[in-house]
Amino acid sequence: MVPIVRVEHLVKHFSIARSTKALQAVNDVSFSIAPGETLGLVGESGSGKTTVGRCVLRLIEPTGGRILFEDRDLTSLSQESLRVLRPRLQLVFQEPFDSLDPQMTVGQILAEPLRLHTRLTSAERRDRVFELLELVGLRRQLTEYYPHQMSAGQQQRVGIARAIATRPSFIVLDEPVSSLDPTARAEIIDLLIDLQERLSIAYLFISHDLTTVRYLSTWVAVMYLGKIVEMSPTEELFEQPSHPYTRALLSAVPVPDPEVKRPKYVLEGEIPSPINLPSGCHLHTRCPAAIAACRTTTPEEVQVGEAHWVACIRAHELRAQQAWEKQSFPPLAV
Amino acid sequence: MSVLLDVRDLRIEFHTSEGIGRAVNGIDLSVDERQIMGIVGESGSGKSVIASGLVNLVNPPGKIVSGTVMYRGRDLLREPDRSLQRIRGREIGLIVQNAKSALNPLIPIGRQLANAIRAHGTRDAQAAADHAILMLEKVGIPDPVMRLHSYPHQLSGGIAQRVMIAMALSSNPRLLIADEPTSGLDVTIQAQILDLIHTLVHELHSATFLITRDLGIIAQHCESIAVLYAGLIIEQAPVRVFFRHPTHPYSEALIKSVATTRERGRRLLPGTSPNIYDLPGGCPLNPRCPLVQPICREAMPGLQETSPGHFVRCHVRALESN
Amino acid sequence: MGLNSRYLRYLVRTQPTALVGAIIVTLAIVLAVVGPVIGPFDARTAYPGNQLQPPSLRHLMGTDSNGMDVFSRVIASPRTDLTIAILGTLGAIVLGVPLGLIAGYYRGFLSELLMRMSDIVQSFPVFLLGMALVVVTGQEIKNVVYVVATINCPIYVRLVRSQVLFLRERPFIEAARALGGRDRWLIREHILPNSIGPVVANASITIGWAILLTAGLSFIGAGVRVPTPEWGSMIAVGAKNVYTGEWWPSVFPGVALAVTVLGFALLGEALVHVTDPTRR
Repeated sequence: MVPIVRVEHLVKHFSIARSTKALQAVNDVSFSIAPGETLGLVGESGSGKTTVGRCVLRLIEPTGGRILFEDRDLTSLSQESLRVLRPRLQLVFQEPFDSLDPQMTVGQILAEPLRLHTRLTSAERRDRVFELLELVGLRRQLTEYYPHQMSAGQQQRVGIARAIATRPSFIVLDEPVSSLDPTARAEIIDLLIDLQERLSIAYLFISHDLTTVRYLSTWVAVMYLGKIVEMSPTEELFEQPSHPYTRALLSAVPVPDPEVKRPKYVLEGEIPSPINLPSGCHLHTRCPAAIAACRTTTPEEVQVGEAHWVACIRAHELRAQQAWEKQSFPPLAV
Repeated sequence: MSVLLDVRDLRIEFHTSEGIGRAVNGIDLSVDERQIMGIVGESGSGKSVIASGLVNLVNPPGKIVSGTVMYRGRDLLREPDRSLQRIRGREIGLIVQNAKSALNPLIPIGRQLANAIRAHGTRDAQAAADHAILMLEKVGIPDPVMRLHSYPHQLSGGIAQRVMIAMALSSNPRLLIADEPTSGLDVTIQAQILDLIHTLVHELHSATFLITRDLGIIAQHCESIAVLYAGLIIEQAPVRVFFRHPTHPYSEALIKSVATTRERGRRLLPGTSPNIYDLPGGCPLNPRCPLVQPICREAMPGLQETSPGHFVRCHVRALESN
Repeated sequence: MGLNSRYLRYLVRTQPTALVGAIIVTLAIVLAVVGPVIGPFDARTAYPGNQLQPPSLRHLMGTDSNGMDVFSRVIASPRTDLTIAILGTLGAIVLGVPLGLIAGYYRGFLSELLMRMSDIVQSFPVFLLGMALVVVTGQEIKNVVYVVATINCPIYVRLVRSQVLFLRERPFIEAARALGGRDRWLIREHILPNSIGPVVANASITIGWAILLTAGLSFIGAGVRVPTPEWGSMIAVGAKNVYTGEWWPSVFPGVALAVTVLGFALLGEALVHVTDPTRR
């Protein structure tokens, strides 16, 4: 199957005013997403995950690398040709309220993509808007509402409705539920899963919340300081995390079950700045498994499972050593 | 173990152009020495206001309209300012969200920390400075001597939060109130900070209120839990009991929302979080509750003990347990 | 943000002075429409032999040195002053808003040029600039309108530009771009509607100042000419009589001017306060 999105060696550096240094947000990131599947992109601040999301849609121009969408090279397209493709690739934002024009009603917000890309009459548009509202579980009456009159959960549903209005085949979801309360969060996630099944959309799900990522992703890629350090099918990542950073991340997530005591595998220190990246493996300043070579060698990707890759020179060694306690993350009951 | 803080019928309102917002509607809470209690709530629950309410630091348009907060025989809500300030600094520590905005941007953190130390005990400037360095070390800040001269905006979120914790704990408080101490911070930093709070609290035997909307944090760090909804405690229990038998319909929805098992079509609560300016009559959950009965719309349920130590505020559940 | 009754009630509740301002503005507008017609005497006719009569039942505000009824002229004045002020302000907005949009949205040389030109215009003392422009273009009502528009244009350029600078970084603009909107679409559909609030609010204040400017120019003889009724020129005509104790030809128009300008300013301030986006 042809992947719907393929990212090859993506690089993004931001230049800094009055300095020769650059902020190296993304350094050689590659992945692909099959139609209808979800890739969860996980990382903390400075990981570059948000930048990756923006670059994939060319909302920010990449410094290097290629982005292929439905086998077309997005990176070489002109702005106009890119514009024509936009209906097929969409974005859902982190802050629901900020992503909606406060001056527009929900009806107007949802009509905008239709006005931009279709030749529907206003009556036809209205019908389509009602359809969209129904798809995301909102009542028709909300077309007259302004964003500030709705709850955060409802606002995000509108954001999602807007993203699916032009029937995209791929959506980048940038921390879509991080700012929501737990109950609203769960509802939106369920909605996203439902929509994916119904409309066959591929997702790039960017988040720092591992539990949510686990719930909805087919694959997971973990990023640290601009690089992917581990990538594998979801369950395998949670059962056999092989990169020290992934392990630290997993052990840091507080599990909502008091019976479970996760193993302590906490990283020391602060996350370095993407302006002054550590040499060799970027994690070496904090990694409990670091050896001398880690400071000088940039780790290559090592294959530790059928579709499981890790960027660590000690990957095999560490996997053999420590038995990861499976109880920490009970397997999903499917 | 003796009761350290006893809150009775705390009510806080907000008087604004939108009307009267009833943020806290009659909270009863008590915490023993050495106990860590988690308070969980979503938007509109009142959890953010309670922290300030407990130490009588509610600013207009908020107003504490009734209740008592008994701390070692004194009602903090009626205590004169002078002694209240002493108690607040020396015996009760407060950690808030977003440390950077709580610190004075114009003064180096070393001096702020030393001032806090001096205001509540230590007179000697040198002793205060030494104690400040000690506290910074305890909270795991690298190069503490150098950091003394940093300004808040020069610090990362994690370090600023740790400075706040140092300030709150510098006087060995008997009671610590931590209001969303790690929200907005990276997960690995959050883990470090929560472990730190946990350790220090155990070391000092301080009672703690940990206010958050993250059930995971409560499960891992608290011994008992109180769930807030529309300014009321709707369930209260030891943590293990709660996670095994969440009884109130809202608690059930909360637990389901963080489940790692993928249930198809999870039944969560319809509707939206309560508007404190327009609360429904009777039980505040009634517009959204799957178990709603006529009585729920008319009368406010009281907190009933459905099993030892386990309190639930629900007509239906109360009936079931009898 | 629709102009519905809830919004208006909120406006009045938070800014009680708005009510006062609104009443004055309404009165001024009504007079602008019917003033010249409802007066007991014709506002442009001189009645020789009737000069400098003190206020009486027949002449509520007395007569001036040309024998004209002051009251009729005072209430006929708004038509002149308001027309000039409103047209001038409209001109400033029509010119300033698009320039502000360009200056804010497209950075670079053009934006800098516009800002420097605004700086130049704004650095002149308003009154001197007004005078100079009228002298150069000729003393007609039409030219006074142009002067008002030119002098106030930079205000709107700056106002809109700062709004645009703030808005460009907002996620909802990025969202519109992600939907495939081109620059013109973004400006028209999103940036302009979100910038217009402060413009409308400031318009009232600008009108107030414009009235004052017109009156001032007329006072020194560089604006509207006799016999057109206008508060400023009325004050000028009556000024010399104040020494001899005949205060009414100057004071009445003076008070009317002050109250009117105050009314516009109060209403404008209230509107600015309420539409201030930083209040969110």
